[in-house]
Parts: sequence; C-alpha cells; structure tokens
Amino acid sequence: MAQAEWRRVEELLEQSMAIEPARRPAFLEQACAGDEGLRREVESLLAYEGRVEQFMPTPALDMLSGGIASEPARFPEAQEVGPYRIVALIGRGGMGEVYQARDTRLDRDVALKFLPAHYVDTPDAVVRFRREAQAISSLNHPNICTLYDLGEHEGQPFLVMERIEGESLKQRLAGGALAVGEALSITSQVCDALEAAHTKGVVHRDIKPANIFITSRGPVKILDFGLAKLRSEPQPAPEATLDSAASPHESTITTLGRAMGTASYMSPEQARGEDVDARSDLFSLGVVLYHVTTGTRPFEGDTPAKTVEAILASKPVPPRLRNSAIPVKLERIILKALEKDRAVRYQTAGELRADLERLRMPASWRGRWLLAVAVLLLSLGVTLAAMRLGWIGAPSTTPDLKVRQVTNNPPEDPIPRASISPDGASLAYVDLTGLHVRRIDTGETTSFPPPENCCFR
Amino acid sequence: MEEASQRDITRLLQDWRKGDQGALEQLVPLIGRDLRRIANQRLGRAGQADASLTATSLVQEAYIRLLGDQKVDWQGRAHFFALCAEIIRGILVDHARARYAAKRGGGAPHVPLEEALGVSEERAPNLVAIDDALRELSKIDPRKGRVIELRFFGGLTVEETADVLHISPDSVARDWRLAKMWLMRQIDGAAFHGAS
Repeated sequence: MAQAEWRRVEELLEQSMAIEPARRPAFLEQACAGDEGLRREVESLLAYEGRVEQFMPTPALDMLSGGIASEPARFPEAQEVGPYRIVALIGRGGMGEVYQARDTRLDRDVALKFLPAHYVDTPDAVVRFRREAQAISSLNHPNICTLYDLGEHEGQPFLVMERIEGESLKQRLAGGALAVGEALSITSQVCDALEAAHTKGVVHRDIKPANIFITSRGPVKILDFGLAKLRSEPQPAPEATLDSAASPHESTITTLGRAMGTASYMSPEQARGEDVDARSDLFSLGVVLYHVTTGTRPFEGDTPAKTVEAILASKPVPPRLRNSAIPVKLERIILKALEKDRAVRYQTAGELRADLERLRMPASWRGRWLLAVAVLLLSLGVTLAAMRLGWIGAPSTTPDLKVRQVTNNPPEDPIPRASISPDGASLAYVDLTGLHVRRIDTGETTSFPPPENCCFR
Repeated sequence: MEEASQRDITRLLQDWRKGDQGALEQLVPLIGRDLRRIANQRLGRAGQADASLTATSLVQEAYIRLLGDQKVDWQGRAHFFALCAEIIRGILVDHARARYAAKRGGGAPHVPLEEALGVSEERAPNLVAIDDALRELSKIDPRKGRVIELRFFGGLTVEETADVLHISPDSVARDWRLAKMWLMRQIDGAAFHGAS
C-alpha cells in the first residue's frame, strides 16, 4: 500500500473510532463514496479495535520474562470509571492493578489502584480501608505519592493517586549497587518522608525498593503508604488455626501468604507478628540502605522461612566486606538501623536522616565550604566597594534582562546551591559531582570533585 | 569499562544529537556489544529470561555499565534509550528466529495472531511475526514504526517516546493504537496466506 493511500485509510479509521459503532457503517458508506476497496480496508482494521489492549500489553522483554502476565486488563482503554477515563494498565502485582487514567473533571493524569479483592472482601475490611486512606491522604509531602481520592466501582473501592513517571528503586538495583552519593540522596529523601508520616502517626509497614520510586523529573517518591496494614490486620486465617503445631513464626509466614516477596525487608518485630511502630520502618530502610550500597540484601534465605529466620537471628555481613567503597561511618549507620532490638535501633526517622545528612557533607568539607562562601562574600564586598569608589562603572542603562539556562543537570542530580559572581561573568554551583565554576559566556567550566564518597550540598 | 570509552560514548551521543550520523555508526556497535552481552547472559540458553529482566532494567544496566554515573542530560538519556530500543529489537528477534530455526528446521514460519498475542503455551509473543509486520508498517508509515519500536522493544513511556520523536504525547498515544491495529491485521493476514 502506498503512503498516500494509507493516510486516507488512517484518517477514516480515526474518524470512525471517534463515533459510536452503530453509526459507523452509515458514516463509511458516505465517506468512501463507493470506493469498496477503501471501505473494506478501514473495516478490516476496525475489527481489531477491541483487541488493541491485549496486544503488546508490556514491552517485549517484560513479556518474555513474565514481568507482567500478558493476560488482558480488567478495564479496557477509554472505559469510564466514575469521572476517570482509563488510559492503560501500567502495573500488576501482589498489591492489585494500577491503571493510568485521566480525571475528566480536573483534566489531569492520575493513577487508579484497585486492591486485590481479598483486601476488601468484608464490610469490616472496607471500613478499615477507608480509615487508612484518610490517614494517608493527610500526608502532604514532596517525597510521598499523594492520595487524591477514594472511588468505588461496582462495589470495589479504589485509590486515586498522583501519577508519577520514572522507575522504582528495584528496577534501578537490577544494575547492581548504587554510588554512595546517590544511595545517600535517595535514602535521606525516604527518611524525610517517613519523618513526616510518623509525626502524623502513619507507619508505612512495607518499605522496600519496589515501593521507592525515582521520578524521571524530580524527587524520590514513596508509594503505598500504610497499605500493608490492610494486609496484616488480624484476620482469622484458617491455615493459622489448623496449623497449631507450627511455631509462631511459621504461622506469621502463613498469614503473610502472598506477600512473601517482601519478607527480606521485614523488621524482626514484623516477622514475629508483633505490633509495629515507626522503628520498624527504620529497620526496613536499613535493609534498603544495605541493599543499595552493597548490591545484596543483608538477610537472605532460600525460602521465605529461612529469610525470616535470618532476620530474627543472623548478624548481617558488615557492609564494607561487600563493598569497600562504603565509608566507615555509613557502615555504622547501616548496622545501627539493622539492630534487632528496636530499643537500640534509630528511634526516629529524623535521627537517621541527620546522620545520613552529616555524612553527605563531612565536617572537614563543611569548613572548606564555609571558606568558599567567605571568599565569595569577600569578593562581592570588594566589588561593591570598588563600584562605590568608581573603579568599576556600574551599568548606566537598564540592562536588557534575558532568561538563560546556564546549567543542564539531569533531574537526579539537581543543583542545591548556586551563586553568580559579582561581575556576572561566572556561575559557581555544586551538585553530586562536585563544585563547579562556569564562565557564563563561554560555558567553560572548572570543576572540583568532592573527596571520595562525599558530595556537596 | 574504562573511563576513556565512557567519555567517548557521552561525546558520541552528543555528536549524534547534533546530527552527526557518523557518530551513530560508531555508537551502535559500542552499545550493541554490551547490551548483547547482558541480554545473552540473562536470556539464557532456552530464550527464557529471568523474571527480573525488563526492557527498563536491561537498558538501565547497559547505561550504567557504559556511561557509569556520568551525568548526561535528560535528552541525552532519552536518545540513549531510543538507540537501545533498536538494538534490543535486533537481539530479541535474532533470538526468536534462531529458536524457530532450531525447532522447525529453518525459515521463519507464519503464525496465527493468537500465538503472536502470547496466548501460546510459551506465553512469549511471537517476535518473528511482529518484526516482519513491523517492517511492512515502517514502509508506509515510518513514524508509527518508530513508536512501536521505542515502546514495545525499548520500553519507553509515552512521554519519553514523545521526547525522542519531537511529537506530542497525544500523537504518540494515537500512533500506538492505530499501529497496533494495523500490525494485528497484518499478522493475521500473513498467517492466513502462509497457511494457504
């Protein structure tokens, strides 16, 4: 088929899809004006409209590896679910199905999350779900995926959440351990979010790389706040009662059932089925920190039961034995977060964050940073004095102001501090790779990398 | 990977974005060699990938290995991913063709849509049929061909695809839909003619 011919077919195809199926024959009759070949062409393509979602539901490689099963989505594209129009199924897992959708009232992209039916199969569970959703929606923090609304479709409640693009830390970890600077940046953002949530009495309960999202244009976001509570709320699990011979640990494992993938990040108190508090999240974050800096998890068994055993009883291999690039201080932080007794672990997220932050800017460099600021201020003072004395003429006409982008950092490496030199010729700024002084006119840059395993902030 | 060649790749990516086609010719073998090595390691002999292997993780892994933690701007990353899409397509389709050749004694067979859809017992999409159909599509509508390649083989999101092709996300979504309908019919048609 020639390109021009296809353009015509495409145009009619699109127009047909925009009108309801019943009116299509009449439309095509008229539009094709007796050109039977054209009409057959359009109709034969329209026949596939209903299967378009099943075809290529995920990238080829993900289908091969079974990343997302290739069974069709529950909701087809363009279906209206309340005020939301489904765009595509974007994820499926133990926590249900997530769809990209459009809020037609506010005209914005959202994500709809339908929890697995067994989460909300009793009136009690629905009440619990609503109560938890209320708590989550009160969390307003840049590092927490915002919950906009609660919806219900055919009796099944769903969450309406902020739509975020990027990749999960789990995906990122497929390439092995992260650089220490990046690991610190990610985990201290998680700490910040946890601090805010814990202050409001919300415990995440399922901190793991799959729930930590690195957005493509901005900060780290934590997903699924508090949802694990719905899963772990005591339910008379038949296995647990039948299996009275099993040890208490075993029955916890059975009750946790389908969520076994997360066992590696559970805290000891969680593994024992006890009540958890904020400190449990900090243990899980410690496991994450260990994982991102060493590339391996601290507690790992062939079976979930063995993993739980390791969490309860084994001492983790010191991180620096796995990766000697880890600073001694960071190793201490990780091991403190991984203390089995929560009374000797980090007590608050703020405490852990402060330790991480201190590491991001070591004392000796804080001194040098102050020195750099002093030099900048001094030179500013000298310039101002010179201007007053008339050595340097201040511009006599109003300058022609222009907005210019001088730096071009990727979103994962933002510039926390920058300053333009008094003469306007240079820009000094810091990022993860160091301190830079750039000539604004030529772009010529002199860089000073930070000492190993540190970064400026 | 030595640091010198990481810098080379960054420079080549920049040159390529500025329109230097010579840079592309040097980039493809550099990136391809590494992607192929990672994919081969993880696809395994049976062509059955391990469960954590996704397009995103493969590209990410290649990216980290080739460019380290060097900072490349967003556009640079998008172009790198776009390039990977093409290479991944080659790797996967070669794998699939080789498997068919081994199983049925040569030639790429035409298969019904059900199999291409992944309903077959292997659950894997029939990449040979998809690749053949995609070639035909690219002849009459190159842009739709690229959209399929970027999204299906490269795992790019709608927004990333839009960035690479310099079109709006809406156009990408429209192209994606229409192109898939066209491909499905093409695969069905090829299976029918192949059987007759």
